[in-house]
Parts: sequence; structure tokens; C-alpha cells
Amino acid sequence: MNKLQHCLLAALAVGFSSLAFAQVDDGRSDAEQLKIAAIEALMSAPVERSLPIVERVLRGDDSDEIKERALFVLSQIDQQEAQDLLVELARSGSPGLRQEAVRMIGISGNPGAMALLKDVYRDGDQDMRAAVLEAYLIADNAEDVLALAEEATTPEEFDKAVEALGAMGATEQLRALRGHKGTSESLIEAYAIAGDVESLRELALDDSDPKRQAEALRGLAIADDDDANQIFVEIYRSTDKQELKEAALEAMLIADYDDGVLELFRSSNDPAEKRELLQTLVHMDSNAVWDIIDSTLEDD
Amino acid sequence: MNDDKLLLYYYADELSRDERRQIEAELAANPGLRARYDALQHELDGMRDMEAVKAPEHMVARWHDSIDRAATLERQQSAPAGRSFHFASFAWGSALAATLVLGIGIGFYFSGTEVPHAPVEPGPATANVVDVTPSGDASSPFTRGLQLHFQQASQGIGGMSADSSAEREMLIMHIIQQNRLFVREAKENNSPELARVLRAFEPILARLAADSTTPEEAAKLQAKLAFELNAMLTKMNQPPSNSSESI
Repeated sequence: MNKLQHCLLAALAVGFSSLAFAQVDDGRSDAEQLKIAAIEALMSAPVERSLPIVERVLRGDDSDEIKERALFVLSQIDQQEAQDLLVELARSGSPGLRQEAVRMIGISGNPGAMALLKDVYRDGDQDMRAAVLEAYLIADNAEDVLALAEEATTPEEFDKAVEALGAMGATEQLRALRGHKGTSESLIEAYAIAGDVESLRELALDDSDPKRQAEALRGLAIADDDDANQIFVEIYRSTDKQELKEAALEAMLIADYDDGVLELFRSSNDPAEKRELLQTLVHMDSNAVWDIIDSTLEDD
Repeated sequence: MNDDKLLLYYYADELSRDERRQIEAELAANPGLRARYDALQHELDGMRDMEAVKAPEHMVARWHDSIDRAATLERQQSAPAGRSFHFASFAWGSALAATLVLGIGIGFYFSGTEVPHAPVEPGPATANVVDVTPSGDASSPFTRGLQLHFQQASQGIGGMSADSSAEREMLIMHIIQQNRLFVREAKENNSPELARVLRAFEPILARLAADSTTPEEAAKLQAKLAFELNAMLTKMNQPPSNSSESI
């Protein structure tokens, strides 16, 4: 072992046993700072050394901040004993540390530990459920999140699971959900976040539900689908529903499709509508607006 | 002469005149070094034709809003003697972002190039530590790029003010974007463990960027993230294990 490792392990031993360090006003004592540095050094120590030390920290009286650092080191130890300890800590202890242990299970990705998360979710409160969803997101485990969405007993629970699927880009699972549960606002948002422009286009062109159609238009703009620009113009022109016109205009604003707004402005004969379209072009900081203003003032 | 020096020479960046002359002299005198530089130059020239990754529109809109808010706030406030807007840190943040883009671009390009290095075999003492080096190759361009990303993200996070500001939000959004690029690269380099760690950083970064996060909460999140980034660097920087060196 080299000199640096000797120094770090000595610091670790001193930090864990000493109570004589002075407190400082930055909220973290010298002893705590030393401990955190020593825990970081464990990342390069052999497992047979680091695991017992990490376990001692986690079962001891150190602050939650110190224990969180130790949990991260634990997540990087690929031994069954380490995974068992993570699962144990996910089930007992302070809520904050339990949630952190769940996060670490996601980081470690150990299949056995991951399989237990659905029980943790079922028995947990809102914060613990959010931690489990985050662990699934970290482990890129879309199928388990789909299962949670399908088994959701409240709209909020469903929305959270759907949101996680959107963040994971889990298009296949989101489409499966639509088949089982129908289309909700949260699902459309998730399509937008996941970039599923095919599903969004289908919904945007389906005029059986104007509210859903409006959401799909906004979703298409967020998903940044270049081919959707003409859909926005087409829907604006073809609908007589004010809510849909506004949604189509808002979509063009989000997508920065000033050519579309300009096209509508030029073809409109309604002064109120022209004013609104001109205002939209100003908000978009479109270069075309200055020509319009010029020619409008010249006509006067 | 390492690749980092050659990179700086290629981009005509951060080298003094004497250092440049020294490199030129060595390139002229050392055919092997010249060949290495020519290969690097060829690869980097090819990168210029690559399309830049476009930031999602909603993120760009958020950045614009943040800049507008910051500009409005600055106009409304009278400038005190000690200005709260730190030009040095903003310039550093911009340089950091540019360096991150460079690091990512190099990592992306080199990930498709075969690097003829012998794989690093983990020794018995570290056999149960999760090997986060892609395909066991500690010196691959992807690994080097990722180490640079961790290092600079850690420095960026550590140097960030805990108070909300437009520059802070831009830096965080940039780190998130680079993180996502490396997640993709980690998957392509057959390193799911690294991909998970990188994905784990994003929710923390998102909370750091949120307006609802108090300065106290932000300081804690920064400390946590800085620790995890440094821990990963420690892990990636450790030399191949040698049983004679273990305790």
C-alpha cells in the first residue's frame, strides 16, 4: 500500500474515533469534513477493507450526511453482502436515509435488490414512492414503472408513474398504457417529453376530443417535430373552436414557426385576428414583423 | 508528450508562445510524435463536419427566459459598489461549457475509433468493485472524456453560488445535457454501471436548477453531487490493482 493510502486510512481511523475536533461555523465540523474525505478515499480501497468500514459507519451514530456518502460507496461494491445491506437500509432507519438507500439500489442495479422495490413502493408514503420511481429511472427499468402505472389506484399515482416513463423516453410502455388506460393529459405530456411524435400527431389530428387535441398540439411543439408545423397551420385554419386556434397558435410560438404565423396573418381578413397574429409574431421576435409594421404604417 | 498537449496545440489554445515553439520543434524532430499528431489532426478535422447536437427548444426557451429575467433584474437594480454579477465566474462558466462540449465531441468521435491498448485486468483485491471502465479499458478516449467531464462538472458545481441566478441555471442545464450525452456513450461502450451513475446525477441537477430550491437546500445538493462526482473520479483514476499493494 502506498503512502497516500496509509495517510487516508489513518485519517479515517482518527476521524471515526475522535470527539475532540472543534466545530466550525460553516455547518460542517472539521471531523465531518475529514470523515467525508476518508469515505471518498474508500472508493480506491480493496473491498475487504472498505465494506466493513462502510457498514460500521452506516450502523453507527454519524450524521445522515456522512451516512449518505457511505451509501454511495456501498452502491459501488458489487458483493451480495453490500446489496443485502442496501436492502436492509431501504427498509429501516430514518425516512431520508431509506430514500437514499433506495436511490443507491437504483444506482447499483442489482436485480435481486431491484425486485424488492415494488414492495417498498407499495408500503411507502409519497416520498418513498417518488424515491422508488427515481431508482427505476436511474436503472432504466421501464417495465416495472409500467406495472406501477397500470396498478395505480389514484390519478396522482398514475400521473407520477407516467411522468417517470416520459422522462425515461419509454415510448413503447407509454403506448401500451394508452391501450390499457386511455389517453389522459399526463400521458400526452409524457409523449411530448419522450419525443413520441407519431402518437402525438395521431392525437392532434383526431378531432373527437378538442381538449385532448389541444394538448397534443402543444405536445408536438415541445417534442420539436419539424413535420408538425403544417399540422398547426392546418388545424388553425380548419377549426372554428377558439380553444383549438389558441392551442395551434401557441404550438407555433413554442416551435418558433414564425413562417406559419406570417402565412396566417397575410391570409386573414379579420382585424382582431390580424392583431393577435401580429402580437404573436412580436413575441416570437420574428424578423418578418418589421416588414409588416412598415407596410401597415405606410398604408395609413 | 500527451494527447492533451497536442489537443491544445491543435486548437491554438492556452499555450504560451514558448510552449508552442517547443511542440513544433518536437514534432519536427520526432517522426512518431508527428504521425500521432497527424492522426489526431485528421480525426479532429473530421469532427468539424459533425452536426452539433441541438438543445431541445423548451430548454432553450427556459434559458432565454432566465437570461431575460436576469437582465431585467439587473436593469432595475442600481449597481452597488461590490457588484453581485461575477463576470469572472460567468466567463469561467462559459469556458467550462466550451471545454465540456470539446470533451464530449472528442469522446463521441473517438468512441468509434479502435484504440490499440491492452485491456486492464482487475487484480484480485478489486475483483468485487464494480468496474466502471468501459470494456475494462482504462485509457480509452471515452474513459478519458468521461474523467474530464466528472472533473470539470465537479469544479463547476463546487464553484457555483448557492443563490439562484441565470448563469447558474445555464451551467446546470449544460451539465445535464453533457451528462445525457455520456449516458448514451456509456450504453454504447457497454458500461451500464456508468450509465446508471450518470442518470442518478440528473434529478439532483434538476433540483439544483429549480426555483423552489432554497439556498440552504442547494448548498446540500451541491455538496452531495460534488462528493459523488469526486468519488467516481477517485474510482476511475485508481491504477490497475496489484495484490502486493493491498493492505
